[in-house]
Amino acid sequence: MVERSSIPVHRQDPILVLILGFVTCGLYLIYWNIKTAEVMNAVTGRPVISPVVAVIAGCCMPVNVYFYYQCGQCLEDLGKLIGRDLKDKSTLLVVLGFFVPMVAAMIVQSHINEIYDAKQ
Amino acid sequence: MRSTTLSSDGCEADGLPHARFARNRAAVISVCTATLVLSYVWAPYVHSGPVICPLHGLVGLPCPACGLTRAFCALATRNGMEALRQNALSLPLFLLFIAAPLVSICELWRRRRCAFYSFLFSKRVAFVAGGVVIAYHLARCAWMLHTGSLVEDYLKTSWTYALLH
Repeated sequence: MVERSSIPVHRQDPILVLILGFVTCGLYLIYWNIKTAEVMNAVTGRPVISPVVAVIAGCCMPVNVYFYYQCGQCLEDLGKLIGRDLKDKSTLLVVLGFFVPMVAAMIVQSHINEIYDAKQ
Repeated sequence: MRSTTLSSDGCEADGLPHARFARNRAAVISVCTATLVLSYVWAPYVHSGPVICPLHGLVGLPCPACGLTRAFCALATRNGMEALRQNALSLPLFLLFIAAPLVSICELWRRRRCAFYSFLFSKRVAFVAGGVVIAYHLARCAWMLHTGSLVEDYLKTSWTYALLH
């Protein structure tokens, strides 16, 4: 069982993810992807998303889609951690990740924030 | 070659169910193969295609991935110099897209994860790779600004520019 205290802190306002993504011409999303991969690996308790693949996802569309597919699969484990019934959102995130990756990032970030909200 | 073995109940030693293990490999094979095939098929039309990058379309600036479609199409038609001109990151990425399905097929066959790419799970390697991508992108933008292609190829082809003019 994964302890909530072992999850790295990656709390961010989803709107800020969108704004920073645009302001930095997408460079912020590379950093965001690495941190998200770190959190998802900690949530599942096993190496699911490679941080290097997360970097590549920040600059390559098909890898980006794969990254969000993996994130969607991790949401079930995230739901178990916070005591909520979160469904696998891979399909939704894959579609959004293909057309509007920043919106997919906002959805994932809002779920990640729930870990720290549930802590309080 | 070191590897993570599957236990007798068909699960990987790190707890990943075999169905998901197989599904993830299938996803890698499909995405990579589709990308390589589409790069070849789309190559004759790539220079007349629409702007698909939201950053390019809205702000008129390139993202780190801008030029990768044209570069992949150039590589699919064995034009390495054109690919380098469009986006140099395409070369290692194209190799990755060739290698990843082969490794995935090997893993499906052996029903276990190969461990030779465990360095991909290193945070330090990720930050170095991220630093390289960011440095390359900034240098590329500076070069485009110097040559004027930032204005001609990106700003003037953005959706916002088209809307205002």
